[in-house]
Amino acid sequence: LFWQTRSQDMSGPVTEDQEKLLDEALSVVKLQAFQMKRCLDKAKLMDALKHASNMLGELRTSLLSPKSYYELYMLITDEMRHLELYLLDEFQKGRRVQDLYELVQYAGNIIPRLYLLITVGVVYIKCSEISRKDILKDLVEMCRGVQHPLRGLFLRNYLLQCTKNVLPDCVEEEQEDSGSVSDSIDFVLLNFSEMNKLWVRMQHQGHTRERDRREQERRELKLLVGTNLVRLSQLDTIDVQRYRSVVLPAVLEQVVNCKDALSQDYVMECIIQVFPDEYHLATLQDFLQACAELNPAVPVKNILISLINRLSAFATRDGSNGIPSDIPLFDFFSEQIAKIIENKPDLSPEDLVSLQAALTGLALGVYKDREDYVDKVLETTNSGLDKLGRLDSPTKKSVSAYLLQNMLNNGTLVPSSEQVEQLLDLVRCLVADPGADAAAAAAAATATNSLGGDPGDGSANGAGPDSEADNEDLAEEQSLLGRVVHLFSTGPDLLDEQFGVLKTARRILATGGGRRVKYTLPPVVYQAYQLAIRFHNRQDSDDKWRKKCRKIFEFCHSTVCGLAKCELPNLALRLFVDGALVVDKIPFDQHDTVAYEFLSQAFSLYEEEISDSKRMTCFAAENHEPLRSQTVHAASKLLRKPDQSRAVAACAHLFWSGRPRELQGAEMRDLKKVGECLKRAGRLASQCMDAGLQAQLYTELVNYYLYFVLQSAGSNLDVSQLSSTAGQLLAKIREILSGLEPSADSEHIHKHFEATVEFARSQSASGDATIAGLLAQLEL
Amino acid sequence: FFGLVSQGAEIDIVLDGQESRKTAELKLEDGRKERLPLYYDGETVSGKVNILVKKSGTKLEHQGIKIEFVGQIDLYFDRGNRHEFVSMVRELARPGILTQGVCYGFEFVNVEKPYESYSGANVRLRYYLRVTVVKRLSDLVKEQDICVHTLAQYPDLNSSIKMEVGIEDCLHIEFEYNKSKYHLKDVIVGKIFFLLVRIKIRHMEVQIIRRELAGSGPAALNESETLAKFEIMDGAPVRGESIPIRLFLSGYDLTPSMRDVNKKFSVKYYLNLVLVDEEERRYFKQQEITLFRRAEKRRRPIANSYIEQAIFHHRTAQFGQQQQPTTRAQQQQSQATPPLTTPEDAAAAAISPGRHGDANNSAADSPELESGSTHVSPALPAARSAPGIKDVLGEDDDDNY
Repeated sequence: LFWQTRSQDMSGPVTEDQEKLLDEALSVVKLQAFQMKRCLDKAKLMDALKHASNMLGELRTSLLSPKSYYELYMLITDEMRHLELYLLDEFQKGRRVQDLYELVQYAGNIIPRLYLLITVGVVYIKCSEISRKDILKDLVEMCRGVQHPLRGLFLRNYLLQCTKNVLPDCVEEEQEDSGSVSDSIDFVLLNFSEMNKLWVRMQHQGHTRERDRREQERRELKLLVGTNLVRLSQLDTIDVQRYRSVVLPAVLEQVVNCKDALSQDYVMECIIQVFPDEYHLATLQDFLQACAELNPAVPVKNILISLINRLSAFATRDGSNGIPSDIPLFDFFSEQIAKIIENKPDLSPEDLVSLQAALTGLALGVYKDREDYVDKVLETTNSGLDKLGRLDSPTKKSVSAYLLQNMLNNGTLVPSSEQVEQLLDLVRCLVADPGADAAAAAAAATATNSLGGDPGDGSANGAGPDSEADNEDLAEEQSLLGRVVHLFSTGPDLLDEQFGVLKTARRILATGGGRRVKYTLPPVVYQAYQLAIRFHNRQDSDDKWRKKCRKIFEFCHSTVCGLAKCELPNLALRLFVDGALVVDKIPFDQHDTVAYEFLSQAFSLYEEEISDSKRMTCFAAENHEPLRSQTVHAASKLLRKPDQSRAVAACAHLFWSGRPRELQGAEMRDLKKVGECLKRAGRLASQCMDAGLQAQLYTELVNYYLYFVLQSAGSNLDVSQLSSTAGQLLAKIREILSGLEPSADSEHIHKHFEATVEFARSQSASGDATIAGLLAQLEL
Repeated sequence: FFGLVSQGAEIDIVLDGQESRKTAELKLEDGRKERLPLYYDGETVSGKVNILVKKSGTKLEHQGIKIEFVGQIDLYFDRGNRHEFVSMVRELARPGILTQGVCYGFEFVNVEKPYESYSGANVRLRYYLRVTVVKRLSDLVKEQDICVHTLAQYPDLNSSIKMEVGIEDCLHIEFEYNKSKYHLKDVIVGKIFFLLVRIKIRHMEVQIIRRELAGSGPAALNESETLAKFEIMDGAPVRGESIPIRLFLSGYDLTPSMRDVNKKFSVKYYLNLVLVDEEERRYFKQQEITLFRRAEKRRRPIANSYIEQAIFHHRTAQFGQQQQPTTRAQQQQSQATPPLTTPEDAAAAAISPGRHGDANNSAADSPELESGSTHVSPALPAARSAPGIKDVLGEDDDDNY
């Protein structure tokens, strides 16, 4: 049950003592229980009661830890079941024991007396001996006599456990004094508030240095208190109305007044979890009001977040009617959160942001059509986070990161330049180095075509010793920021505004210096590419689209050039090439010139900057013969053999799927050149020293062969040459693989190979006869 | 049946209706308990005396045979002083000679039995019949005890006992017992309301103490006996807690309270509320209650009686809560005036702020910590040895069935 988390700080000897004490107590209990049962067998009730009382007397101990006490309690209450069953049996047979309820109250000690009283009282109720209502009331009142927290909690737990199935659950009394649900509510509420008081009191006992241990022990006991609420939630006749007018106010009053953080935290959470969502909706205001009155040490945000999440889930669940329109859920939460922020000046920014994030979740989940809600949240967050200026740098960063992460999780869109500016201002600690702000801002102001960031920033930034961890953190933060750039979106229609957004984003992000723009600007560029495509798609409704596209590409060009200057040639190269691809698809005026400009930039970058450039394989499409052969040439000049091999193989695509203008969009499908490329790649691969790598390359090549063979299916191209070469390769691979030492790498290659073969087989099995015939030559 | 075998004759007293008469248990001087036929005040005591001559043929010469009905108080420490408060004689036979068994009827009509039979630590009150066969040398005597119960009407006035007691700045409680007079099968219902708790209380119990005062003047003997120890609270309460009391008296060996019985002795009962703190210090407050014997009626079903108690309890519990604001005010007041209240002041049950100020002067030389009409005092070494509180509560047993 709840003892799985064993108290850690209990030192060895104490534990040993505990075991010894517990063992002693348990053996007394077993002996007394045995005698009790023997007396019951002989129908000697008075003697049995005496043994039961002796057994229960063990629960008077003050020496046991809560955990040990729990074990003792479990054994004893288990044995008490025998007594209860015996009495029930006797009563039902009509053999009533006169005055039993009074009789057990002669016990001199209160603990055994009350356990017996509860047991007998419940037997009376079950046999409708006397008024159920009065017995319940009497039992819960009499339990006041036990003021010791641990013993009181367990005693009242016993009461709760024994009365589990006998609480009246009807609106009207079924017969006189049988009680109604009101009596059950009074009963459980009283028991709850008493238990809560005991539980809270536990904290204030004993020495202060054992504070932590006590807190731990209290946590272990929390379920005892929560069971009361569970019991209430099991009463079917507690409807919303009753919950709102009776149950919740009483629970909240108790919780708020107890002023204990642990209790408040647990009970509030418990309320959220045990009662139905509809009830929460109906009582939101009361609940939130209570939240505002809790002890400042209570993490209210957890409670609110839990509630918001639960209601969001409820509203979006299948079959739910959603949030009734007369409940301004969002406003409630929004106001309440604002109040909390106001009342708690020391609320940590993390808490603040996570609160707002949950609210955003609600707005997005429940009020999909109300974008203004999201705006409102961001606005509040923004003003709330004004205090971020006072935070130290790591905190600022983590808060900002948290904020961004939440935006990502919730897909919060940032729909205008102003908001982009606000957002980036909010997280400026991520955007640029502190202190660099002024300089960067100045630089940004003058930046027109080139980026404002210091090109040397990447390596020379001396804010502190660049440890690897720092770099990792930076990379993580900046990728986050980069991902958020994708959320800068004005929606499907406002394309001009979108361009404005991107310009703003670039202006601000560019202040980050080389280390940051590496992550943050590429998304801007890609967003711009995307935008160009969207303009192109909407050419019918916007006759200036050509001009606008051109502007966008100019923007991209200058941005990428900036990146190139920041010693990020690799990145710039890729962006240029991808840009060229996009340009290729959009037939605005002089787009070929622009494309050429992009590519020539790429080549010059390549030639100037790149030594180890696998990126060359990206050169997969262009419509100029010189570029193509230049590419192959460049590919074969790569430094490392494997790279050469791969690049050259990739170049085969140039001769296959290239669409020179003269063919009017058709693929050129130059099988001869393809074959040459692949052969050359094979030759390069064979020059590799490492057998494993060789096998890997061969496998990849086989894949190329397969691709082209399959592509040519149905055409009149003769692929027999390709097939046979592939077959030879397969044989070679098998040979190499058989000689390989088993290792992670070789296993990987094996797998790749097997998958390739499998793919080929499946193709030959499912494909038409031509393909099958071709593949047959692969000697599968 | 108590046959007293003596010189040639056996005397046997048979009471009328003895088979059907109720009996009651009474403790003998040596501590044994005996069941005796039970009589009430004004009830006729009648029966027969059988005298059997043991060996037929022998003769028993006597100077007369008589039977007496005696009500008598014995003080154990003063054997010579037997005080008969009732003594009636009936002559059964004139002097003569018995040759065979005879049977005499006797009757004490509507005999007055003003007191209840009692057997205590130092005193005994008994009723008996005594048959005497007067002889020249030594009389033949036979005694037969009976038990007498005195019945009382339910008192017209039976107010609750309610009191605020405490130790300045340390412990303030208010206790309430639902009545001041209880019959012997009654149940004491009450509550303890904690107004101020600055000590760590470990538990609280209610004791029933019997105090017997035997004799008079300087020779009088005082004896206290704790008849019941009933734990009513386990653990340390905090301010504002209300602890219920429900104590069924029928489980204990009690008698009615007796006041100055024939100027020889008194028996009083006290409820002693004892609080024990974690350092084993004991704080107590004794409160006299009056016990009486109610005419036996057919017992009401248990259900009703207990419900009545329960309801009463709830009502009193409410009372405590309503009182809370005022008592808190008082308490603040009392905290503001450091000197202690005096016994004179204590005569007033409620503490009024004004009186506190008046009390300041005389308080200084009072070592007793009191307030209200209390005698709650921490058990000083001297107090510890006092009867009734020297027992360690931990040795309590559960054998109350």
